[in-house]
Amino acid sequence: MVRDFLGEHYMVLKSVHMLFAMIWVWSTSVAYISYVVPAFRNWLAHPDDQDATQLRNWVMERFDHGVILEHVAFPMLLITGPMLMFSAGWGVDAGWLAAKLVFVVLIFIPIEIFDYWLAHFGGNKQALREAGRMDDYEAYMHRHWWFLVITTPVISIFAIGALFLAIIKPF
Amino acid sequence: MNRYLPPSGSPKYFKSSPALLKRIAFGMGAYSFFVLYPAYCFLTWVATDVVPDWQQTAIIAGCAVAFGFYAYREMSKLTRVRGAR
Repeated sequence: MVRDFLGEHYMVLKSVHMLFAMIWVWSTSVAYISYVVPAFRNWLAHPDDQDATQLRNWVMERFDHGVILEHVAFPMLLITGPMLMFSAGWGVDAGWLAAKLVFVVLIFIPIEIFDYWLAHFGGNKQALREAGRMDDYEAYMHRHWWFLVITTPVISIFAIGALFLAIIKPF
Repeated sequence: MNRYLPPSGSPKYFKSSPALLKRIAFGMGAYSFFVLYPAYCFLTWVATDVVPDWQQTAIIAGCAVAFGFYAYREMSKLTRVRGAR
């Protein structure tokens, strides 16, 4: 009965899933490429420059806020994805789905757990600044940059790969 | 824009090195081949009883190596200290 109901609304579910997938993948791209990376690279080149440090701080605090869209989209993907699987009757015998599930469980979920922590919980820079914990503020600024450095190649390959798998279903 | 600056005693300089980035990139490639690929193989084996052939494994190994090189290149670009401003 549930499968019938979901099956009747398969295209709606698929549209919602794809909408959130695009938000998850792309919502931070302009801010990251055009603001975060230049501000951090400028600071790397001029660590003693107060303007460079302050610009880095401001950009990163805004970025912590800006990833909210991404972090709303991700759980929506985790909800609508299994609904799509169930309604369409897909299983891991479909190679594309098996690969996508591996990406989600072993790459995306661990990355997002770190990202939630860095942006909204213990690593939120604005909260650290307002609490006067400036040593932690600076330490988390470095950690967050390491996180972005390491995840950039991962996301640029595997997130695009997941979109390709979902749309093309090549195997 | 806030005007707060890190206290003087905090670690001001971002520390990275080509050797460290190489180790991380190697780890990424290795994770792709030794964790992600076996997980995929296990799932498809459970569902279809099909095991991967050597040709597929060789292609995935090549992709993992290429990914490691790509990751190193991207991480190097992001941590390179020159040409700013």
